[in-house]
Parts: sequence; structure tokens; C-alpha cells
Amino acid sequence: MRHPLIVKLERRDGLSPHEHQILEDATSSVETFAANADIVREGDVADHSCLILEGWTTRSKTLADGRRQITAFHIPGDFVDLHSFLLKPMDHTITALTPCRMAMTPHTALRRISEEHPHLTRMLWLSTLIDAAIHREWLVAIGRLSAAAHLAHLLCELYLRLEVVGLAKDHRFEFPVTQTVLADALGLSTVHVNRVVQELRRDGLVAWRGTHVTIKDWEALVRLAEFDPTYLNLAPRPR
Amino acid sequence: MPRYFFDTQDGEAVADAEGVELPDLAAAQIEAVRLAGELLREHAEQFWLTRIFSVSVTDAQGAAQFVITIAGARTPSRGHVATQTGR
Repeated sequence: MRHPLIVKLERRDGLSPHEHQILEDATSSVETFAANADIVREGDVADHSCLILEGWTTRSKTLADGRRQITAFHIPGDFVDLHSFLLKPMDHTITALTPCRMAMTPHTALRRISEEHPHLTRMLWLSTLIDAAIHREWLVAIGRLSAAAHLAHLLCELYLRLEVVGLAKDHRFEFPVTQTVLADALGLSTVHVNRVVQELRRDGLVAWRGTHVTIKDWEALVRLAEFDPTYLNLAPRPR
Repeated sequence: MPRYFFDTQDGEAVADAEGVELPDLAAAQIEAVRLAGELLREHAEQFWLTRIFSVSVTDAQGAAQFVITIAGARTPSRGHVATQTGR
């Protein structure tokens, strides 16, 4: 399998063989995590950043009464805490949603890249900018979209992000979440999430069995979600 | 965990075909209030077409457990204010 970070970055701009080598060397130390394990905790001061090679993670904050808000889903190729290179300590927790293989990238290696390889530095900067753009879309969705449109928006976004790293095609993908996890991500009650999943199914927009999602009517899902993929910056261009 | 079914009526009746597993009746009662709040927020305009909104909860045997009803009604005419607003 090709290195998912290289695949993800090259979707936005080509990398030289030398840049491939630098990224592969920086991400060669691999650790595995069980599902539900915290990979980085709020308050941690990290000396490395974690890149997902396999598996899914969440970013989340938990309130005093135990309620949780998931602020991001991350998939292979995502550098889940690249910002921990500069932002210390961590202000939220990163948890494995499924068993994960993570490349533990030393901050010393990131420092060297930032000092010696300006194009690669811009590409890593780009990946955190895309994460920020995704957060903005989530904020709009959580504040203003209907529950059905919000879920539709999430499914459109995840499909395109997964397709980039070869984990989705023909409008099918694995979405390894329970309705409780989905409720924590959408900021809705579990009962409401259950209801909108039934609604999207009933209206023929998606088929959803266990963790397997099939988008049956992409155009209708995009319309419902008012989904515009511009923020994912999927076009290659000099950066 | 027991399964509860949350049917709603807000002009359009929506039957919950699948239900959700929850620890107990108290948890179902809290979830029902959250659902009601989320739906009302989303369908604020629609509410005034019917002026009635309810969440009815049944258990797995189909036995009714509780109902939350929100009703809207115009207050009786109060002359001055009513004339000004045209209501």
C-alpha cells in the first residue's frame, strides 16, 4: 500500500522522490493502538506527532458532566496532531475509534523539515489548513443545518476524504461508528441520529448496514447537505 | 438494555421503526426531551401550522410509556395590542 500521507498530499501538489524519502524516514516509527485507547490526552506535552497509517481516530472534548463532543474524525493519511509540534500542551484528546497503526513522528524531524525543505513545509502547513477548513464546515453544520442535512454533509465529506486515500469507491465506504459516536459528532441526541439515519434510508439516499455505507443518490445527498467540496482543496496545483 | 420507540407528531406523523436501546425509562425520558428540543428548533415555522407537537414513547412490547406534548395557542384578544399587530 502506498504511504497514505504521500497519497493525500500528492492529491494537492506533486512531491519529488527526495520529498517522498524524507516523509517516509520521518514516519518510520510505528505504534499500534487498540480501539478506544487514548492516543494523545488533553494536557499532554508531546515530543512527536501522530500520523494515521491505518484505522480511524476522533478528536474530542469531554465536559464535566461526562458529555462529549467529537470535533473531528480522522482517517489514514491524516496527521492528527501535527499542531502539537508548535501548540503545547494538547488542548483536546485523540482517541482510537478502531485499532490503529500510527507513525510516531519526532518533533525533531519536523523541525528539520521546516528548516531545510520549504515546499514540504508548505505541504504540511496545507494539511493543517485543510483540517481548519473542515472544522469551519463542521461549525456551520452544527450551528445551522438540519439534522438530516448535517448527517448528509458528514457522509459527503467522509466519502471524498476516504476516496483520496483509496478507502472508498463506487459510493461505498466503511464508517466504523455506533449511533452514540455519531450523536457525539453531530451534537444531537442518539434518538435523533437514529431517526435521521432512518430518514436518509427511507428516502433512498443511503443504504447503511452495520458499518457499511452506500450512497445511493449522491446528487440528492449533496443537495440536501448544500455540500460544496471547495474547502477540501482536492485539485492539484503548485503550492 | 430495553429498547424504546420514539414516534413523533408535528403535523406529519413519523413512526420510529427501529427504536433505540437505552439503560432505563429515566434515560428514555431525557432522550425524548432532547429529541423534542432538537426537532422544535429545526421546525420552528412548521410548528405554527399545526400548533401541536408530540413525542410518544413505547417499549418493545408496544406499550405506551409516556408522551411529551407541546401546544401553541393564541391568547384571547387584548384589544389594543391585538389591533396593532393585526392578530
